[in-house]
Amino acid sequence: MKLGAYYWDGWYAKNGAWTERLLNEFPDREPVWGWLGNTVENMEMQVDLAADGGLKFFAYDWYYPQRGKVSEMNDAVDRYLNCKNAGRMEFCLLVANHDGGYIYRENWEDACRRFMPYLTNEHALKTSDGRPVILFFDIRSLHSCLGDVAECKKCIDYLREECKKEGLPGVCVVGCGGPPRDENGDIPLEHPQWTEWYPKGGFCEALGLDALTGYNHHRQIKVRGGEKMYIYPYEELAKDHEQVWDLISGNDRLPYMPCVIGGWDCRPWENLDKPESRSCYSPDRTPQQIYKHVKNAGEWLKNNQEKALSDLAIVYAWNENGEGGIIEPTRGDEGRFLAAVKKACDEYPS
Amino acid sequence: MKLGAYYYDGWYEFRGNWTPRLLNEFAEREPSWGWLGNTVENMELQIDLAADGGLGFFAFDWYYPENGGEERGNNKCIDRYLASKNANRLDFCLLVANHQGAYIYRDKWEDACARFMRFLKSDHALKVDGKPVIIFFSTNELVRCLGSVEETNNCLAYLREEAKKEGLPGVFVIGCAGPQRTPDGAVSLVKEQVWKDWCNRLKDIGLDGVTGYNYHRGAIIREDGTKDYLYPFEDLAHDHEVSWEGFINFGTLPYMPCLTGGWDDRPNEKPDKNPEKRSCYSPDITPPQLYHHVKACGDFIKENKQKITEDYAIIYAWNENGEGGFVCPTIGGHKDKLLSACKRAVDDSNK
Repeated sequence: MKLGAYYWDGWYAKNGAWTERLLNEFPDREPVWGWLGNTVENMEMQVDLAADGGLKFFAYDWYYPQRGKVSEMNDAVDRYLNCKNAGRMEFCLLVANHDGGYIYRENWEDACRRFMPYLTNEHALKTSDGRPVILFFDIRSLHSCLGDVAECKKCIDYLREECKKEGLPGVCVVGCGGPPRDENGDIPLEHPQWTEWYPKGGFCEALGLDALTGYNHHRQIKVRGGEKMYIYPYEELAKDHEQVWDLISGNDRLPYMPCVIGGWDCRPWENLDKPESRSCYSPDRTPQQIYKHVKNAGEWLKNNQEKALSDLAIVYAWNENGEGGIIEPTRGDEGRFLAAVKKACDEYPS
Repeated sequence: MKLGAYYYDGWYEFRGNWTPRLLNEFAEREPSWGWLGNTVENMELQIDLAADGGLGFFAFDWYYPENGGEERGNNKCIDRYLASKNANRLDFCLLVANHQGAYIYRDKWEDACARFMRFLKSDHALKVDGKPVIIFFSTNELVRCLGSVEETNNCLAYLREEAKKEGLPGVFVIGCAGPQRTPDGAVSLVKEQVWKDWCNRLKDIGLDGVTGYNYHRGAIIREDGTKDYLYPFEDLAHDHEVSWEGFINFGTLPYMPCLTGGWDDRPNEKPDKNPEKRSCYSPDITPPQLYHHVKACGDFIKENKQKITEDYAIIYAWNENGEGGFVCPTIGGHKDKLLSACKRAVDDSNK
């Protein structure tokens, strides 16, 4: 198993990510190096920690400029590329094409031009057939912002061709797909999305996607007997993810990279006065549970080689400390979650 | 408000309390001074931390040697406390843990009283109306082991008389009692008569006051009979706050509010082997939530002055690190933030 982790760089400068709740109620989430991490030296330390922790690549959350303004969150990937030890990991972009990072049709060629230095970089994560990997956060907005299915396919083909011009064998475009949800927040086993989106010849392939994964599959709400519940055992959250691995992948489907959940507890960013902003949270995760979950991903890859995207898997997240997806060492856990990840990875060598 | 905390000394030497799950899955619960705490110097440190953290007394869990022989090592923490240079920074009392393994049967009562006496006479004893306080973990077991309600009255009268012989004005005996619950497991005030009967019984057995050790919930039982265990701390705290109302509204004995500093007994559970031993757990506790809970208690005490034991309240616990009730500073997790939340709430309540 080659396990990577999403890297979200909201921590380059003190900004809105440091909510009062995060600082006051959840100070245990502070990274061991402190809240700020915006130097090359700091990135070198993170690369060492991650590589020593069994991770093989970072997928950096990357934002297309909005109204000409380039997001400073994109600097993380450049800091990584300036690291002396960058060779200890590979990397790819997770193009965060959601609100604040949409890529419309007229900007596609520009976006591709911006992707290219990363796709051609020597440290780029590649599939077993040598194609650099690029992830898109939202399949729906990829489709809607580019126009329609045909235009989306054309755009992705353009990217492929541009890569070939640079001497690459192409590109592996991976879309993050999630499960449908019913009115209770459950994952229905029967739903058109399973049959229309993910099979070969289905919606995702028609868009031009080569493979699928997920960012995370957290649950918004759990309704039982009309009662809304938010606290949600991590064990069930992990099981949801493992169920999605099987539901998205399958015979005659696009290759799949299992999305592993490192946690979800978005309370620091939720406004208690706005209940609609709430989501289910799992405060009970333990290193042992993470170990089992990562191990299950290794086992899944071993048993589903024909369905998998090489032997890749990805965990949400290295540093989504606000949303509660955290495997980097923090002051509260002092590296116990990362050690659990390493232990599981070591049992499934790449 | 004078806030005390239960002190459980399962940490005097490496033994069964350090379950593999505690050490591996919940390593962040290790106290800031390390897992072992069995010296006077260490107790002095803990006293300073607790006193600086707004606590006014410790109620030390104390075990009667049911099967004879020496008292458990757990009891030695009190002697360490009494030998501490800074013992006067906190008052103390015993929480007589009269549960399985430490029952006090009728024929041992006089011996038990003799053992209590040196603690009751201490300069540092917590007092109500000048009488030293002693707390019993289980009122039901107290009565069962002593034989009857009448005999329990006799035995408690004997304890008070023995204390008087020692020059004390008596003893203030507090029993721990739990709240009434609905079939799904939640604390409820709905069954008024059941509450009243329960509170009357507590009075009948001769207690001077009532409190609780903690009011954790066994399971959340859904309508279809399935059980859930993950339980928001906010709801756990609410259960305690409703319990305060119950004992004040339906009881006549003075009440010492029992607060929760958390409950998460997973380190001691083996879900695969003993699923029936599971209990609800609340890993989502945050310092601000604990602040609100303690502050709510301060407000409650002000509103119910006449029915409260002095202005005392007690929190579960200083160091029930295995069961998940701990406000002592730890190496990980919330570190010293739960204790500082207590301090702020006590200070704000006493303004």
